[in-house]
Amino acid sequence: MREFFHHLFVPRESNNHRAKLLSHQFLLFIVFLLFVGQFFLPVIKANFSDVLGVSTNISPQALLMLVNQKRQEQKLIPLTLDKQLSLAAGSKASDMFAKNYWAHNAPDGITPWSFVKESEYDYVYAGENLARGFTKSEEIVDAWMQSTTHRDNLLSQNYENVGFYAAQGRLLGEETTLVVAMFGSKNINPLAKSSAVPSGEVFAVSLERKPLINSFSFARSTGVAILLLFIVILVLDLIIVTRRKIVRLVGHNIDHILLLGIVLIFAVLFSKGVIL
Amino acid sequence: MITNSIKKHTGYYFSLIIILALGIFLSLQTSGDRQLQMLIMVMTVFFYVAWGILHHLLEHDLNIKIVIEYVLIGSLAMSIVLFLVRG
Repeated sequence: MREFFHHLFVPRESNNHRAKLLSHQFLLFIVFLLFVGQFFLPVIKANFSDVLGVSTNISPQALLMLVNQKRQEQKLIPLTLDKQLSLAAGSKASDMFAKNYWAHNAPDGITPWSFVKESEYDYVYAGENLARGFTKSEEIVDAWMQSTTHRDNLLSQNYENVGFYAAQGRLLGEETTLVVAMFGSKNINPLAKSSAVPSGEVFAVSLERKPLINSFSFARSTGVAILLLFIVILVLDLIIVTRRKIVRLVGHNIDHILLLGIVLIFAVLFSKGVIL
Repeated sequence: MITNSIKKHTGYYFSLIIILALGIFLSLQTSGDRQLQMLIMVMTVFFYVAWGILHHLLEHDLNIKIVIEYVLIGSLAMSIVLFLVRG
């Protein structure tokens, strides 16, 4: 057993002074597995979503609470959840999925305000924040707070109401979670009936899914594990070859460690979440 | 021997670090545009392979095994990135 592991990890005569795991055949095998895996992952996600899928926990109540927390910190009045704005947010999300676009304005020129008007919300001010690829309400609000324009919407004194809509679907070729937030304040009309949601009533749609395996965590863990394995083998190989003064044609380990190190940073920092 | 190799090829390693650092910086900056982000990662890996091969060509020690090694490591890096994005 020990001999076998030495053969895999340590450069020696039996593996032609190059760890077997760094042989061209093994590298090719791993690359092949990863390429096959990346085509099968979406298929498994689509057909066995209870087993492998995107784990999400996004709710309008949580989003509202988090946004109002941020507003409270700035001594601003809290926003109330509005039925019409939630409907407008829902229409916008459906339109984005149907026409397959990721923008405030639709390809056919429809603006976010069209959805607000259609929902019969008579607005003085209106704003829209979009988010996709996030899995938790907290991540969305944090991302919006880090962007000046999105933070301005969250903390604007002009808005009194908000509507949220969260949906999962296929957008721009990838299965994703889409969240639309519509902000607004109404044209004061004493005859108009208020549409602010009474406490405890739910109008917006929540998104909560918990598959057995979170596909993104699985992909990230697999990627990081493979990268760490190869970086360790390359470092080990470099140290042993240097100590033993073995002269080889192949084995440009420093270059490879640098590249895999950069990919490791990418794997750790990569986020599927995008805001607009 | 390691430090000797680095000292001997300081320009090469320095430029390689610049290419890779620029690649990771730009890819993280463009996280809002997945296609552009992927294009930057593909370009970074491509430059890595091309730069490595060019370096050995200039050093007059280029060999098919070296080319295969750079291509395989580049493919490994790219396949992990794609696996992550599709996951």
